Amino acid sequence: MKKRTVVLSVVIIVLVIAALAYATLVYTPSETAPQKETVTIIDALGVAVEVEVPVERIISLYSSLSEIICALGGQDRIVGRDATSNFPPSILEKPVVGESSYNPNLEVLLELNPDLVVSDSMLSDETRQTIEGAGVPVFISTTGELDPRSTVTAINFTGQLIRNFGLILGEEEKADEIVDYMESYENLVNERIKNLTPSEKPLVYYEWYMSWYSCVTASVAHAGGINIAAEEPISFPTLSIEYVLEKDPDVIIRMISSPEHDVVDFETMREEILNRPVLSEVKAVKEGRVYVYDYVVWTGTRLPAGLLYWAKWFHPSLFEDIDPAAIHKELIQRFFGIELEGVFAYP
Amino acid sequence: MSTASEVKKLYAKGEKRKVLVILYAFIALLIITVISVSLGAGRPRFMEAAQVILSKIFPFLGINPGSKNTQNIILLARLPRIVLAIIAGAGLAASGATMQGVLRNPLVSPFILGISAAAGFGAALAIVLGIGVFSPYTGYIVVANAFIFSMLAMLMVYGIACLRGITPETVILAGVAVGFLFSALLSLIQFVAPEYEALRAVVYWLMGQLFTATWEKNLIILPIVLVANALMVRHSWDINVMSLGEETATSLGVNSRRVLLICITLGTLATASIISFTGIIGFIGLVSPHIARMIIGSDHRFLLPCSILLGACLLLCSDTLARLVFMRSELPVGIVTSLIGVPFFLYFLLSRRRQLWH
Amino acid sequence: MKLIINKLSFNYKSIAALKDVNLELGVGEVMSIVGPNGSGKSTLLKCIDRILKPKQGAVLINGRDVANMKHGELPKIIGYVPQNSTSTFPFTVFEAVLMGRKPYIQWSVSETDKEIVAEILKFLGISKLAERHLNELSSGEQQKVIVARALAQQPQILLLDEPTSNLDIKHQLEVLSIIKGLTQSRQLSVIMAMHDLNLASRFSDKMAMLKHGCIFAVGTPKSVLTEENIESVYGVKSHVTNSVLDSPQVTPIEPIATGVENSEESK
Repeated sequence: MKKRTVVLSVVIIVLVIAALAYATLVYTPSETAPQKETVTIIDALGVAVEVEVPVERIISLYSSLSEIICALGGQDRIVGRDATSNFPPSILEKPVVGESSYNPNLEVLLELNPDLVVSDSMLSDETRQTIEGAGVPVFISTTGELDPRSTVTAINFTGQLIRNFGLILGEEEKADEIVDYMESYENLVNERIKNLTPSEKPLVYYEWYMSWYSCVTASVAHAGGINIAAEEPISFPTLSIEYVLEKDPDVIIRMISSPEHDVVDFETMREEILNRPVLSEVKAVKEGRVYVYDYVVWTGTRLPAGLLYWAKWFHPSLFEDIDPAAIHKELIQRFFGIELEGVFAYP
Repeated sequence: MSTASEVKKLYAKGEKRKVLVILYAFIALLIITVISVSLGAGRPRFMEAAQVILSKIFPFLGINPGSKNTQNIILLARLPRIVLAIIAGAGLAASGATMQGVLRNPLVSPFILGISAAAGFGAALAIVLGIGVFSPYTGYIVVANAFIFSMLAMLMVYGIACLRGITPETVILAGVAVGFLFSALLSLIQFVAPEYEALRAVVYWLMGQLFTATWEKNLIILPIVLVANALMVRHSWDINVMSLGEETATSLGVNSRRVLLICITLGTLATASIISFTGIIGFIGLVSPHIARMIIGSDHRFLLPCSILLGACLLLCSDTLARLVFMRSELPVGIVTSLIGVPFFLYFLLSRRRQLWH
Repeated sequence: MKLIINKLSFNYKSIAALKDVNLELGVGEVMSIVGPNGSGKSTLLKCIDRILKPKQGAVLINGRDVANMKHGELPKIIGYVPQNSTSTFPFTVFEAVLMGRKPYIQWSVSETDKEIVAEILKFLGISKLAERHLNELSSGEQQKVIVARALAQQPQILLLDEPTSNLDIKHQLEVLSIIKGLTQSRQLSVIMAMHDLNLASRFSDKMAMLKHGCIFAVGTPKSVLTEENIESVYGVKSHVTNSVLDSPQVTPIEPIATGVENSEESK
C-alpha cells in the first residue's frame, strides 16, 4: 500500500515541523530587560508606543513635531529630519532622511541609530513595521489638522502631545509651561464667545486647498463661527457652489502655503476669491470679510495664533484688543528665541 | 409576396418612425433640462428659476428676478453646468457613434486613440509642475495642456498606423499602445509628484466633473462640438457604406482611408475639447450609440442625431443625479456615469446579443 | 459597354499577382475567370474596379481610361459583388441594398432611389425580406442581397467574385440564372471569378483561364476547357465531356504526381 505510506510520512513531517515552529516561538528568549526606564504613550493611531526615557536620539519626519521638540528644548536630541522640517532654523543643519514622511530613506534613517522616530500619518504601515522591527519605536501623530470630526479642540490635542513629548524628553516642566500658555489663550477665546447665541455667530465658508474644497473641521466652532460644511458626510467635501451661495456666508477663510511669507501670495489669493463671479453677491465678498492665512499658524505650538486670527475675524468687536500677529511673534520669541518675520495672515 | 410599392411604403414608414423617435428624444431632453434647472442644493425651484431665466432673456417683460444671489445661483452655478452637460454629452456620443461606425467595432469609445490617458497626463503635468499647489487647479494652463497632449496622442496613433497602412485594425491597436504609454507616464507623474496636494488634484481631475463650468468655457467648447458634430453627421452615408467593408466601400465610391482619417479627427477634436475642461467622463460615448442603435437602427443619418440627443440626456441625468446624492457637496460625475454604464452593459450582453452585432 | 483590359499588371509587395493581362468584353457578354487558388482572379476583378491600383496597364471602358474618370463616375458604371460581405452593424435588407444608391445620393433618399431598390428586391424575389436584418438571413438570401446592392448602382458592368461559393445547388442555379437573364434584359456585361468550372462553363459566353497571374487561355468555354489546359493549369488529370445542356463538363480524375504544382501565392 505505497500510497498510504506516503500520506502518513507527509503527515508526520508536517506535524514535526509544526512542533518545531511552535517550540521556537514559545521558547525564544525574551528581549533583555530594559536598562532604562520606559514610558508608554499612545499615539494618534491608538498604538501604545513604549519609549526608553529620556530619549537621546530622535528622528522627526513631521515639521510640527520637530517644532514641538525644539520648543521643549530638545533640538540637540534631534539627529535626523525630513525635508519639510525647516523651523526653527537651527534644525537645518540636521541630516535629511527623506523628502517627507511618505518614503524616508530607511538605510540612512537606521544608520543614524535613533531611539525614536516620530512622524505624521503619511508614514506607510510597512515602513513603520520595518523600523519597529529594527527595535526602534515609532510614534505617529497629527497636529493642527487633526481628525476633523474630533470634539477635542486642536489646542487640547496638541497640549496632550506636548505633555507626552515633555515626558519622554524629561522636560515636563517646560511642557507644562507651553501648554498653560496655549490654554490661556484658548480660555480667553472661550470666555468671550461662550455666551453667544447661534444667530450671533457668523456663517463661515472655509476653503482650504482648491476652489470649493472645504473641511468639516470643528475648529471653526471653537473660534466662535458656524462652519457651513460641518454636517457633510465626507470629511473633505467639495462643496456645491449652489449650497455656498444659498448659505450666503458672512466670512470666508482660505488657507494657503506661503513659504516666503510674502504678502503678495495672500493678496493674490484674496483678490481671486473676491473676483469670482459666482461669489459676487455673497455677504462675505460684499463686505470684504475674506481672509487668507498660512496653514502653519494652525499647527503645533502656533495654535494660539491661528485660533486668535480666526476668532478676531469672526468677532472683530469682541477681540478688538487682541493682535494675533503680535501674539504669534511673542510665542515664537518665547519658545524658540527667534524674531519672527513675514506675513502669515491677510488682511 | 409584397409588391414593390408595398415595400417602398414600409421603408417610408420606417423613416417617418425614426424621425419621430428623434423628436421624442429631443422632447425628453427638454423635459430633463427643465427638471435639472429646478433641482439643486440652492433654494430656487422651478418658479424662481423660470423667473430668473425669463427676466434675463426678455428684460422688457419686467419680471422680478429675485435677489442677486438667487440670480447668481441659477445663472452662474446651475445653468452653465446644465448647458455643459448637454454639449459634452452630445459631443461624446457623436464621437462614439462615429468612431464605432468607421472603425467597424461596437466596443470602441471616443477614447480609443488613448486620448483620455493623454489628456490626463497633460493635465497632471500642468498641475504638478506649473501653477503651484494652492492655485485654482482648473486654470486654463491645465486645459490647454490636456488638449495639446490629446492631439499629440492622435498624431502618434496616425504615425504608428501609417507604418502598416491606415485601417481600422491598425488604428485601434496603435490607439491601445499610445493609451498605455500615456497611462504609464501619468502613473510616473503621480509617483514623483513632490507635493501630496498636487497628487490629490490630479486624481480629482481624472474623475470628471461639470461643476467648474462657466459661460466662457461653454462658449469655447460649443462651437467646436457643434461644428465637429455637424461634419460627422454629414458623413453619415459614408459611414454607412464603410461598415460594409473596405472593398465594398471603395467600389461604391467611398474613399475609406480619407473618411476614416477625417471622422476620427473630428471625433477626437470634439472629445478632446470636452475632456480638457471636464476631466474624464466615461461611458457616455460608448453607451449612447448602443442604445440609439437598438431603438433606431444602424442608418447613421438617424443614428447620429439620436445618439447625440441620448448622450445629452444621459449626461444631464447623471450630473443631476450626482448633484442630488450629496446635496451640499459634489460627487464627480465621472463616477456616476461609470456606475450607470455597468448595468447597461450587462443588460446588452444578456438580452440583445444577436441583434447588435454578428 | 465595351470593356478593354490592356497589359494589366499588379504586384503584392514584390510578388507579381497579375502579369500583362489583356482581355475584351462586349455588351451583354458574360465572361468567367477561372484558375487555381492564387492565380489572380480576385485581384483582377479588384483592379478593374480600381479597388486595387494596377502597377501597369489600363482598363478602358468605351475607350475611356478608368484611371482618368472623375471621382464618383466609376461606381455608376461598375458594380462589384465581393466574395464575403459582412456587416458589423445590423442593417435591414432594404437599407443594405439602398447603399448601392450611394453614388447617386447626396443626403436624402429620393422616391426614385426607393423605387429602384424596391424593384430590384422584387426582381430577385426577396421583397418579403425587405425589413429583415441581414444577419437573420441564410447564405443564399444574403448573396442575393449583395447582388441586389450592386444592381442598385445601375451599373453597366457587373463584377462578381465567387458568387456561388457558399450556396447550395438550388441557390447556385437561381443566382446564376438571374445574372444571365440580366445580361440580356439590361444589356449588362458580367465578369465573374469562379472556381466551379462546370457552372462557369454553363453560364458564360467567354472564359479566361489564369495561371500564376497570366492569361493562359481565353475564348469560348468549349475552347478553353480542354483536358490539356486543365492538366497544365491545375495539375489535374481530367475527362471533359459534353453535358446534357450542351456545355463542357469537366470530371476531375486525379492530381498529377510530378511536375506542375500550384503555387502557394495568396490571393
